[in-house]
Order: sequence, then C-alpha cells, then structure tokens
Amino acid sequence: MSCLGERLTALVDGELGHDERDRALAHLAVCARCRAEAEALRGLKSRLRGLADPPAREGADDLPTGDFVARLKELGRQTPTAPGPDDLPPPARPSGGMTHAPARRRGGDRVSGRSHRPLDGPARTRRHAAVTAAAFAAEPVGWPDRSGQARSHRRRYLAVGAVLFLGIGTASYFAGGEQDAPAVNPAFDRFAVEHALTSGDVPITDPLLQQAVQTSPGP
Amino acid sequence: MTARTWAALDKAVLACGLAGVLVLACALTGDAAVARRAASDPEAVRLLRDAAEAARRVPYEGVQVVTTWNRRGGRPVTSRVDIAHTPGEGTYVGAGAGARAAYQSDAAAGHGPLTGFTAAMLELLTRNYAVVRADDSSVCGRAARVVEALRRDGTPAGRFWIDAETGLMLQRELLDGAGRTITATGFDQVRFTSGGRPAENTPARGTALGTAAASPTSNVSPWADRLDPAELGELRDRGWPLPSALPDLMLSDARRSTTRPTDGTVHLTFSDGLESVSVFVQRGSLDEERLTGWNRTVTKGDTVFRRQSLRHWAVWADDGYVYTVVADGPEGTAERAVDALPHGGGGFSTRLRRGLHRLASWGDPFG
Repeated sequence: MSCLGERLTALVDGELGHDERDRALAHLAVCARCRAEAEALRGLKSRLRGLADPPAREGADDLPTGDFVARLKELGRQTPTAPGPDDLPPPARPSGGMTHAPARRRGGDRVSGRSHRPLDGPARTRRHAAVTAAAFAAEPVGWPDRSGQARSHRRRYLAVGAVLFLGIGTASYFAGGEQDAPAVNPAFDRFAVEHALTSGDVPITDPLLQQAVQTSPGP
Repeated sequence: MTARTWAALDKAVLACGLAGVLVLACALTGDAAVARRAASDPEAVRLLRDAAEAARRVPYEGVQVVTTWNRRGGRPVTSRVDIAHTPGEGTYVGAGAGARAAYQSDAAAGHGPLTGFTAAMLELLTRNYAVVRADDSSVCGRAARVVEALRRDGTPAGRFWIDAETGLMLQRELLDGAGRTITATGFDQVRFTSGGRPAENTPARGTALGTAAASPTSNVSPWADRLDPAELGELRDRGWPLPSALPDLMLSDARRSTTRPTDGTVHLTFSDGLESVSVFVQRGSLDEERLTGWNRTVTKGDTVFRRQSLRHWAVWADDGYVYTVVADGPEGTAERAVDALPHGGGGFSTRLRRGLHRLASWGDPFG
C-alpha cells in the first residue's frame, strides 16, 4: 500500500479536491514508490476504460482479446481456420488477464479526467453479450457444427440403406432364377377320370389320348 | 322469340329427352329383370334334382356312350362303356372286354355318371342359366321329359332327357351358340332290373362287365384330399399359382392327389353348372418329348400342347409348374381357360418375388 493510501486511487480517478490534489502531486514528486503505483493505476484504468466502451460495430477492432477467444475455442471441438479481415485477432496469447490491448482504437477514447466508473454491472453484461455474439459470428468459432454432423449421419444411413436394398434385391434376383425343375409326365389317363368324377360324367379315360401318350402311372 | 326463350326451350327439350331415356332404360331393365326372375321353371329344376336321387334308387344296366363333335366338322369321337348300378351298393363301369371294371359306391358318388345334379351344382346351373321344360320326347325307346338350360340370349346351352317312369337321367347334351351338339352323354341301351336282392342286380355273368365285376375291381373315386379355402390360400402363399375362378366359371371343387404339402398335383374344377373345366397343377417341367401327336401352339410366350378328343386338352409348363387343362363344352371354353392361366412367367418382378420367398425360407429356422 502506498503512502497516500486511498488518496492515490482518488488522485488517479480525479476525485480529489484542488488542495488535496496539489499535496498528493507534491508527494508523488518525491516518492518514487507512490509514483510507480500511480502509473500502474493509470494504466489499469485506461485498459478498463477500453473495455467499458459501447459494443463494437462490425469490423471494429475492439473485439475479444486473444486469451478470451482461446478459452472459447477450448470449450468446443473445431478446426481452426485462417481468420478473415473482420475476424478476431489470432488466439496466440495464453490466458491470464488482459494483457493485449487492441492495436487500433476507434474514437480515441483516452484516459481523461472524465469521471466515469469503468465497467459497472450493466455495461459489463452488455459487453459480454457483444463479445459472445461476435465470437459466434466469426467463422469458425469454438462451437461444433451440429447441423453438419446430423447431415453426415443421415447421408451415412441413407448410403447403408441403399446398399442393403440393392444387396437384397440382387440376391433375390439371382435366388429367384428358375432352378432345374424335374421333368414330370402328367398322368392324363388319371386326369381324365378325375375330371369325369368331379364334373358328373362317366369315369372313363380318353381313348385318343391313350393312343397319343405313353400311359404313365398316377401322380 | 328472344334468345332467353330459345335457351329455356333447349333446356326443356333436353330434360324431356333425358327423362325419356331414363324411362326407356327402366322399361328395358325391368323387362330383363322380369325375365330373369321368371327364368327357371321350378318343375324343371325339380326334375333335375330328383334325377340324382333316382340314380341311387333305380337298379339299371346298359351301355353308355360319350360322343364329342369337334370343330371343323371332323369325325366325332365316341367312347362306350358298360354300366350297371345296384342300389345300396354302387355302380360298375367297364370299358369293354378284358378291361378292368371301375366301381363307384353310391356313398362315395357325389356326382356320378348321369346322376343328375348335386345341390351345389344345381344352384350354379340355375344362377347362370334358365332351366325350363321343353317338349317331351323319347330316348332309348322310352318316354322322356326334356329340360333345357338356356343362356341369357335364350339359346339352349344344355338339354336333358329324364325317364318319365323312373326319373333317371337318360341323356344330356351340351350345345354351342348355334344350337349344334358338342358333347352327348347317355344310354345307348338301358334295362331296368327288378330291384330285388342286390345279388340279382349285379352285372350278368358272361358279359364283359359281369366277368370284370366278379373279379376284384378298382374302386374309382376322386382324390380324397379335398382342399378348403384356407388350404388353398396356404398353397398360394407358398407360390402355387392356383386361380380362384376362370372366365364365367366358378370354382366348384378342389382336391389334391396326396396329403403331403410339397408334393402332389392340385386338381381344381371350375363349372357354371353345365360346362366343367379341370385344371391340374403340379410342380416341375414338362417332358415335351413324350407329347408326340399333340398340336404345338404358342400362347403368351408359352408353348402349349393341345389335343381335341373326347375333351379339350391343353398342357404347358410355366415358371416351374406344369398345367393341364381338361374342358368340356365348346372349344372356346378351353381357350378362355388357357388364356386366363399363368403364362410368360420368369419376369423381373416374378423372379424377384420368388427370390425373396426363397431367401426367407432359407433364413427361417422353422421352415
């Protein structure tokens, strides 16, 4: 903790009165430790102010940092592709705090004396929503392409079904070929008697039939 | 008149015309309906029904002749048999000297030689024909009452002579559309015996029939394995091509030569009460070399062997089955039957269906 304590934070936030501000600045001139802490606080404030800016328009450079994107991608299973011109910066940085600040900044929002609190609750929520939407809008993002997988499954099932259908059809066609059926000799003499008996005629054989066909035993 | 008036007049004329057509149609239909209702003479139907009972009751012996006149005015084909009937026993039928007599018991005879009509066949006859009385005549020197079966156009399709004294059917004929006799079956000679003890009515010794009757005869009866609709359906499910009807003919009898489900010959009889067609179906291929003397024809891609003698015969093989058709009546009846049965088998869908059946049967552990 610095010599000034809370007053150092108030000095960086511009919340000190005129006289107290002069006394704090006079102390910073002689105290290197407080001076370094003040610099750190200013740097932190400036980065926080950058996060508290309104949601970025498409193509803006205030997109999620690399470590955030890396964490998103770890949640899913996807193949990383080359980012487009509006895509996120390459997720090369390891996670662990806000270490990378966007190289370009729109609107030149510099650390100033404006008294506004960085990242209060609603702003943080809006920012997270914007980040998530931007992250998902980029191609490809960390979430798996479920619709594509479903389509590939359907194609696989259709292919298997078609193969089965064709296979069964081909097997049926070849199995249905006429096999060698044994030659039979219809027993015409017996058939003649059967016909007569069931149709109400005299049970006799057909004489001319017997002359034309070798008599065969009954079936 | 104005256009509107003309339009109204047109509509009125059209309406009157339609009404007139309707009245005419009703009149004609009504006349036809009246004709159908009055088609069969109950007395004529009774004579046919009583002929069956007379054949079981009356002792007789004689010679029966079956004659068929084929088309194109060829020589008629005739077959003669000796016949003797003993009430309470049965009928002996002999084909001539030295021939083994066939015996059919009265109990087994459902539709024996000239016994008249069974109830089922009589119902078929009256459904398809008008059964009416014709002028009395005589046959075999005996007075006979004549009954005719008329087609819808009024032409006679069948004629029956019934003995006025005993009620036995002495002769029956099938006629074609022009009134020509196609087939005639009847007594050439008949003698009514005393009807006393059964022994007195057996065929006289010394006659060919008597000699044959004294020795063991072959009991003639149709195949005993009758097929009901469920069994027919089961056979069809196994691939047997068994038709349920033929053109203008209904299935009147179905039998099988054996009781084994996979073997044997199926015999289907189709009839309209007057004409009968038998279809014999058996598995296998046809040994064409044994069919010398038959006429080779082609029907729907199949080689059909035809023969006309006492009856019309047609034989062919198709898709693993052999069909034999035996038909009475005009030649057209046989031709229509042959056309209606399976031909040109082995098509793509048939082969596919047969293959699926076989694959299923191979995979069925209980089949």
